[in-house]
Amino acid sequence: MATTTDTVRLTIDGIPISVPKGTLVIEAARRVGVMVPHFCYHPKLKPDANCRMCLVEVEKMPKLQTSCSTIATEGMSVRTATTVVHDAHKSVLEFILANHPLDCPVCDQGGKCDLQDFSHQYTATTSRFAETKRIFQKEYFSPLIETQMNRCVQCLRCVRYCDEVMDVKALAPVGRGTMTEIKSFGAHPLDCEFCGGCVQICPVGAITSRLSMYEYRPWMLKRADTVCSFCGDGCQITVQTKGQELIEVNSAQGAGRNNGDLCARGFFGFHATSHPSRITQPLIRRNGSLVETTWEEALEYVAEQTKRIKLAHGAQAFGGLISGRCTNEELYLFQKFMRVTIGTNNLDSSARYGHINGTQALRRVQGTHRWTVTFEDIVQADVLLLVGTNITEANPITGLQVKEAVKKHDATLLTIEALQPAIGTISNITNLSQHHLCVAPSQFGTAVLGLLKAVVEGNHIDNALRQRASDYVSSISQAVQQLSWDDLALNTGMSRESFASMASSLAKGRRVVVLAGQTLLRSQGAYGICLNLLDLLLVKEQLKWARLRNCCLAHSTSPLRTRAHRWCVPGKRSSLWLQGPPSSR
Amino acid sequence: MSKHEPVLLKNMLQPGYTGSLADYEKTGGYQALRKVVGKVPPTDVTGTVMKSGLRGRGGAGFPTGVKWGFLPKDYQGPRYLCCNADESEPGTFKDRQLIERDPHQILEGILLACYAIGAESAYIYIRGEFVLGARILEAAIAEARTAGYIGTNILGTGITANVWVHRGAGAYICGEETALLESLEGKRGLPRVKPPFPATHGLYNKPTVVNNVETLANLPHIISRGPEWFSAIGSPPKSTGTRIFCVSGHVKRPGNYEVPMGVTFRELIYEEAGGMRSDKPLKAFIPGGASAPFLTPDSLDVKLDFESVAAAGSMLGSGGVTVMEEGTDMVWAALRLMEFFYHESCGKCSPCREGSSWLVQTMRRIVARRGRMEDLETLVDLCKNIAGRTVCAFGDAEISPIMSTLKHWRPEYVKMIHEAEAANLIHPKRILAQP
Repeated sequence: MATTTDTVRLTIDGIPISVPKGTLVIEAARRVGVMVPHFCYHPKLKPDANCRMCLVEVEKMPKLQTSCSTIATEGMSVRTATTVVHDAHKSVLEFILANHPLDCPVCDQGGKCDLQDFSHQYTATTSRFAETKRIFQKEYFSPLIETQMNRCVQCLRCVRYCDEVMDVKALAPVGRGTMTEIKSFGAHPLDCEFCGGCVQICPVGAITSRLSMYEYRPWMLKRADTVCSFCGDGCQITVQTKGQELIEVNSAQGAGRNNGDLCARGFFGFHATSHPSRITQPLIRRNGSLVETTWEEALEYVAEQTKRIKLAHGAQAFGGLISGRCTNEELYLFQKFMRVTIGTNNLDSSARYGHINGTQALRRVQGTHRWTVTFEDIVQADVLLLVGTNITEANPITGLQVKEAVKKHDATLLTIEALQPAIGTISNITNLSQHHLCVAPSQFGTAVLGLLKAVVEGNHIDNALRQRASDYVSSISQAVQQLSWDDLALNTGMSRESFASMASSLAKGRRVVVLAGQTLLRSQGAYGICLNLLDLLLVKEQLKWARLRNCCLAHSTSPLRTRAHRWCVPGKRSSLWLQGPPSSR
Repeated sequence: MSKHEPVLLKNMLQPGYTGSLADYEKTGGYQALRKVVGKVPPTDVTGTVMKSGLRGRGGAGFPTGVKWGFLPKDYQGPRYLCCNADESEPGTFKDRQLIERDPHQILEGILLACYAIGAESAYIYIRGEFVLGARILEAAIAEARTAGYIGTNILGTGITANVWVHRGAGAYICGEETALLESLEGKRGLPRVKPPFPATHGLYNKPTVVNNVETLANLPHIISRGPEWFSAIGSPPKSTGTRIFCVSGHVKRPGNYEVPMGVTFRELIYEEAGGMRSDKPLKAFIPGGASAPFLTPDSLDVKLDFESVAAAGSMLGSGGVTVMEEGTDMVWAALRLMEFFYHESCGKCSPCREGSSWLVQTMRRIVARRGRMEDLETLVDLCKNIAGRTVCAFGDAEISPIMSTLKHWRPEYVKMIHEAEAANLIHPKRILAQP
C-alpha cells in the first residue's frame, strides 16, 4: 500500500497505525487505545513537555522522549510498556508526589484527579521522601476561584490556557523552582473574565471552584447534558446535581460546538437558579397584590381566563411574548400553543429585537435570512471584521473562535467597536485587533460608510465585478462620493488614513467574515448599516461561490448574481428562535 | 609569565590598553571585518570558521561553523544572532574579563558572525549582575556605530548589522540558549522543548544562532590569520585554538589563563596558576564549571581538550577550573554546589524541580550529621532518575557534584553518617518507628 504524503505510518507497542502528518505520538497512542500518562499535555494547548510523565521509548533515539512533544514520523516504532518506560513513569511520579500534601480526603478533585489515578496505576503506596514538604501560605485568590498551591504539580496548564486559548493572561507562575506558584498577574486578587477554564483544565485539585467547594464527592453527583441559555452561542454544558441541589456546571473536553470551553456565565452563572429572590412558585394577583399559589390553581386560572377572553374578544385579542432564553423546544411549543390552541399569530420574543435588522438586510441581499457562517468559517477566515460586537463579553465562545483565528491562523482582525484596548487583565477583543476604529455606538453606521468609501476609493473593487455589475458599481461609487472625509472624521474621530489602511487590509482578504454584534443591530438605522456591510462584502468580491442576489447602498438596487459571501450576526447565531441575548446588555 | 602566546587576552595584557576603539584599532582591530564584509561571500566566512575547527566555548563544545550551517539557506525574513554573555556558571569568569577589558574584540566577532549568517540584528544577552560590563558594551557599541562599524550601512557596504545589549534579571537558567531566547522575548526564562532547535525556530520563531562571548571573540583572529593558523593551535583535529581557563580555589594565583587546548591540568594548575595555595597536596578539582563532575589528582595529566576530559569522566564545559586542596570537606563542597543548583532550578520540569529540592535537603541532613545509610542509595537513585529526563541539560548538570563525590569520596559520606549515629542524632523517621 502506498503511503500518501499526508499520513505517516508508525507502530505503537507493535500496533500499526496511520495518522495525519504532524500528529503527536501521545495522540497517535490514544487512537490505538494506549493511554500514556500525562499532566501537562492537553489537546487545546501547545506542547510544553514540562511534567515529563509521558516519556516513551522511541526506536533509534538514545533517550526517552516525551510523547506529548514528539511528532510521529514515518516508520517510527514507539514502545510505551517496557520496563524502562514504566520505571521512568514511576520515578517521575515519585518526584511529583514528593511535595504533594496528599490531602485527598478534603480535596474537591478527589475521585476525578489525574494524580490519584496515576498513583493508583503505578501503585505508589510508599514514599522515600523523608524531607520537609514545601508549603505555600494560603492566599485569598478570588471570590469564585480557590487555589491550593500545595497541591499544584506545576504543569502550567492553567497559565497556558489563560494565555493561548483565552488570550487573557491573568495567571502567571511566580517564583522559581519548587517555590513556583500560580498567581494572578500582579499584587491583587484575580481580576479576569472568570471563564473557569483554569478550574476545568487543572489535572489536580490546585484550582477549584469556590461555589461548590467542599460540597460533594464526584461520585455523588448526577450528570445531565444540556445547552447553556445565557447567550446565543449554544454551548453544551453538563449540570451536576446532588439530590435536589445544583452543585456544579461544566463542559467536557470536546463537548458541543464550544469544545468544552465555557465563559463566566456558563461556568459560574448557575447559582442564579438558587438565588433567594428567584420566583419559584406561580403567583396570582388578588386584591392588588401577588399571592403565591399552586401550579394546579394557577394553570386552571389561566385556562379559564383565556377561554373567557377568547369568547368575549376573539383570538386576535391575544399576544404572546416569550423570553429569548428559552430552548428551541420550549419556543416551539409556545408558538404551537398560541397558533393552534389560542388561534393567533401575534407572537414575539426578545431574541428578535434588533436581530430583525440583520435578517431583513440579508433577505434583501441574498434572498434568505439564513446565516452562512459556521464556527469553522470563523477559524479559517483570513480577515475578520467585527462591528459592535464586544464579543468577549456578549458571545465569549464565538469570541474564542475569533481569537483562535487570529492567534493560531494569523488572521487579520479589524474591529469597529465602542471599546478601547484593555490594559488590565480584563481583556477585550480589540487587544488582538490589527486595525481598530474606536467609535461611539451611534456612529457605527458612519464608520462602516467610511470603510466602504475607502474600499471604493482605494480601488479595491474587483474588475470582474465592474464588468458584471457596472450599474451597481457606479451607483455605489456615486453614493460614496457624496460623503466627505471631513464629515466622516468629524463624526467618528477617525482619519481618512485609518479608514484607508483598514480598507487595504480588508481588500487583501480571501476569506472574509463579518460579524455584526448586538450593539450594532440594536442601534438606530441598523438595517441600513447591515446593508452597507453587505455592500462591503459585495464590492470586496467575496462572492465566489454563493447566492447573493442583490445588494444596495442607500436605495439603489441592482441585480447581481454572486457566488460567495460570508456573514453572520453573533448573538443569535444558532437560529432566529434559539437563544436570545442577555436582554439588558 | 606564561610561555604560551595569548590570543584573546593579548591586547588587554599590554600596559595602558584601555579597550577603547582607538586602542583596539591600533592593534589591528576591525581589520578582519574590513577584509570580508562586502568582499568575501558569507558562505566562505562560514567555511573558514568550519575549517578552523572552532568549537563553542560556552560549555557544550558544538562546532561553531556547523551550527551556523544549520540555518535554513533559503529562508526569507529576519535571522538573529544572540551573544550569550549570561556567564553564571560557578567558577567561570572569562567572558566578564573579555567584555570589560576588550569589548571591541567581541563586537567585531559579532559583526563577522552577523555577516556570515545574514543577521541584521544581534543581541548581547548579558548577565544582570554585570552592570559594568553592560555599560562598557553600550559605550563600545556607540563608539563603533559612530565609526561606521555598526548600523544600517556598515563600512559603506550597504549591509545592516545592529547590536543591542539586553541585561538579564538574575537567573542561571537564562544561560541555556532557549531560556535565553525566551527571556530575550520578554517571557519567563524557561528552556524550550527541543526540537525545534533555535537554528530554525529561535528568537521570535526566526532562525537564530546563539554563540558564547569567547567563541565570538575568536572570530576576528580566525579571519585575520586564517583557519590553518587556528587549527594548528591546541590538539587538532578536534580541539583547536586556545581557551581561557578560569582557575579558582586553593591555588596561589587564581585568575584567567589562556592556554592552547591540550596542555595538561598539571601544567595549568602548577605552572600557570602557581601551584597550591598553602602547598598542601591537591585533593580534587572541577575541570569545567559547576556542572562538570569532580576529578581526582589521578586525572592531573589529562589533557585540556574536549575528548580527553570526557574520557576521564568529566567535561571541559565552560572552562572554570576549581581546585581544592587536601582537607577540603567534599560532602560539604557537593552540598554547596547542590545549594546553587537548587536555588537556580527554574521549576519547569518535574524531575529537576522536585529532584533538586529532594537532593539538597538530603545533603543538608547528611552534612548536619543527621544522615543514615539508606540516604546514599536514595541519592544515587534520585540522580539516576533525573539524568536524561529533563527538558534541558540542567538536570544532567545538577547531579554531577553528588554523583562524582559519591564515586570518589564515598568514605567521607559514610564517616559523616557514622558520626550521626554516634551522636545519636536520630533521623525523624526513626523516631516514628520507635515504640
